[in-house]
Amino acid sequence: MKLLLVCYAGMSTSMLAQRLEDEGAARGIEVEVEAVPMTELEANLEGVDAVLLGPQVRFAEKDARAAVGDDVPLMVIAPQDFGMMRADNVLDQVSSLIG
Amino acid sequence: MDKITGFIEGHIAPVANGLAKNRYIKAIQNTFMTLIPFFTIGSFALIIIEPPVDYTTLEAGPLQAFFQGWAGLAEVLAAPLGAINTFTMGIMGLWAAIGLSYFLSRHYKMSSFLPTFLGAACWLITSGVDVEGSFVTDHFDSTGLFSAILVTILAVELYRFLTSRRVGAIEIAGAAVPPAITDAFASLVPCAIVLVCAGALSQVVIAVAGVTLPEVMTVVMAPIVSLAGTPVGIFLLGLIVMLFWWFGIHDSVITSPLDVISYANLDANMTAHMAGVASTQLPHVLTPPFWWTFMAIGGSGATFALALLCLVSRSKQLRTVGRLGIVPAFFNINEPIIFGMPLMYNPTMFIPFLLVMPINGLLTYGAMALGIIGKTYAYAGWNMFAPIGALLSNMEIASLIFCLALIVIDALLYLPFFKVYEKQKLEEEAQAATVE
Repeated sequence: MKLLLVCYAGMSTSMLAQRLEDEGAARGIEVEVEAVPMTELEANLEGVDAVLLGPQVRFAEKDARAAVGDDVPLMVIAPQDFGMMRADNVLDQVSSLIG
Repeated sequence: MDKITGFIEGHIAPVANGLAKNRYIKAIQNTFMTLIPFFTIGSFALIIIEPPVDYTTLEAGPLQAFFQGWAGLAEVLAAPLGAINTFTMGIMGLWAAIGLSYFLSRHYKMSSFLPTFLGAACWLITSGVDVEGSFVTDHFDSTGLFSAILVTILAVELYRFLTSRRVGAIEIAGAAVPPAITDAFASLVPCAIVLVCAGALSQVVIAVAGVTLPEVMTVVMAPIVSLAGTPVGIFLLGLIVMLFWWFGIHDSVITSPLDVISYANLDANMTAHMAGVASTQLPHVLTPPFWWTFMAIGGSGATFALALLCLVSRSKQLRTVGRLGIVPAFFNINEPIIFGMPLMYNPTMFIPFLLVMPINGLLTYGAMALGIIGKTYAYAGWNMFAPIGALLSNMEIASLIFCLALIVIDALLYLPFFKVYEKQKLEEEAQAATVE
């Protein structure tokens, strides 16, 4: 599956992106993660299965939702999961979100 | 406490977010973020061609040989690297005018590059001329930044208004006007109107004020620029930024507009330095290296020291945060600390998290005012490890030592609060262990 990770500059989410791909590999799922800044969200939506927002841009959820549309699931990463880089928790949530 | 955070989360934070995504603030933010490589490269070009020590004042030895070699290299490279400095940092007004026009027109989903050219042309009409109307490049540097913001916003907005009303688009009912012709006229007429307006604005300003627009803008903005650079201004700006982060919200709503002022200050310092002004006598304290390498050591909140404290903590969770956070901290990225420790919504850490960075600002201001370290004239970029960034900011060993001292001071300021929080964490962990 292809995930889009969004934060302010795409810097800190890129750390989580790597961990998510590793966690996916450990579970035998092919996970492709791209970390982009908020301003690049709309340009990167093609073929994305879920959009994940970093907690520091959580107040932009409504705008992100509008940009993403209703077909693609979107969630805000819990601050602690983000800070502790708990890729397993995040991937669990994404899996249940995609269903 | 929960009530207050609930109120802020529900009411204040969305307002802050609304401001942060304001199209003008976003355009400023994107422009300066895009230009960071230019600023860094321009700074390095300057550093290389300006040896910090005059070798003729040194005693014979390896150090003298080193600086003599550097001086020789600088002489050879002065022309090409000087040009790089001039056409990156040195004409940031022009780059900003182009960037602002581009990002604003992109916000409006204008696919054509014309509005970008148009915004830049309007800025040139108002800021690239003297009172007689001759072409001058005096305000291609940072003194043209404020007029760039004003003029490009007006130009792109007016162009958008005119094209959305289809002013000038030829539509003859029933006649076979080729669509390409219609489109050509659809942009030709609005374009002409916008350019004429820019010319009129330029002439009116000169007629009324006797000087050109950039000079008027400099006078208008002067009180804000100098207020931001006072100790009170620096302290308050730092405090507001940290309040944002305590709620886990990015600080761009404050720091993006601040970029305009601090980069203009940096450019003024750089120009003064090249004219031979001593680093302690440079005009401005508040510059990007002042903020990002002396105040925000390790990221907003000066969390580098905190990452070190976490690393040696007895709490398992804090040690994990420290391990995750220490490498990014060298590059001034601290989301693992802010969200992992967490500092966000953490009442125990509220006081130091808000105060340590502004205190760094005051201490650095004091050190610069007393001449212990010089003011800054070069910027290595916000991802540079802070003490090295400090060294490169004015090529003084004292700056590096001062920055290291700040890390120690930050650690001492954080320590009592950290100990209380660590105790809470240890109790939680002990409890979890007995439950298991």
